Amino acid sequence: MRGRTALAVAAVIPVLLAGCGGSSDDSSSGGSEESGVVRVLIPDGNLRRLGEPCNGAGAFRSIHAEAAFTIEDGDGVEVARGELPNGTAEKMMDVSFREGMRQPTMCVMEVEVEGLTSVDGQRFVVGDGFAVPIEPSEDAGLIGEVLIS
Amino acid sequence: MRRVLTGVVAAAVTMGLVAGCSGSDDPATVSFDLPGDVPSDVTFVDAPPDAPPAPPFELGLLDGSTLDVAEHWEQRPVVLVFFESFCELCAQQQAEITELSEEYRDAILFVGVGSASSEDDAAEYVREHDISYPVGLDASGEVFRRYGVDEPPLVALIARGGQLVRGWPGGVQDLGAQLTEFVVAAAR
Repeated sequence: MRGRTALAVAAVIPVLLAGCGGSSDDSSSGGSEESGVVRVLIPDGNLRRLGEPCNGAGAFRSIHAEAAFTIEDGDGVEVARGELPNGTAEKMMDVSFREGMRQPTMCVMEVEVEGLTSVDGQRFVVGDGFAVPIEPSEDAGLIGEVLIS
Repeated sequence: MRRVLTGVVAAAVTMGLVAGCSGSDDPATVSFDLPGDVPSDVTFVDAPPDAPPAPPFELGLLDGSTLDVAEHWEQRPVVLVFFESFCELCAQQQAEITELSEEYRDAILFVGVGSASSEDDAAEYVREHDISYPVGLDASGEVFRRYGVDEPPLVALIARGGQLVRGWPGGVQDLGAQLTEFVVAAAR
């Protein structure tokens, strides 16, 4: 009898712990321990100081930290999913502004995607209906790049 | 006896785990303080004559009540703090805002307005930052649009009487100095 009780508790605990996963981290799943980093560019042109934390602005407000994303293959089958991390404001145009001055920027997120080893033919799906092809990247540490539009 | 004890332990473990899982907690535990009477020694600064009227709005608060902001700016200045629970820049600036909201507790009404955040996450943000001023969600985004909020943080300053005197996209540094310049005379 004690054994059955212990089994019952053991069965409940993993379920409860699994439910604790929540959505608070920006980890993603894909079924493999390998991962690739996709650079997501949000060209919202919002005025920010370079380097400050950001999320998508204006028409891109649905693209923000903790927002869910998926990656689909060419047939529309989901191959990975996760949550976006915080972004960082980067220069949008080659114009000299005074140091520390707010200027038009894009918000850039470096999204680590578990299980992503290739981006050929894949799309990044996020926010209010944005579905954008992932372009392969030759930059060190990046597997692909996405320009949201 | 042993079976009863085992059952109690199992139940306790289970309840403990469930409680431990709920990172979002119960939104009903969030409560807010509204200002009392304006202190008699406080002097408000009049808005410039060309300051535009601030858009009035009602806001559903996280505690379930509704706040009519225009009712309050008839009595005292109002600081609107547009934020999101996932906004790192908002979190970085929150400590100063929380401190000022305490310092000016009965003189100035601070109001937090989120939009895309979930109720649970917004409530967690409120608890995490010890916010006691009223905070609500503008789920439709209408208030954000009317105040031109493209991306939080944005702080808007409304003088007593309802004129919009300043707005700071990206937040504001040294909000205390801005308050004494634009809406409330510095204490002597």
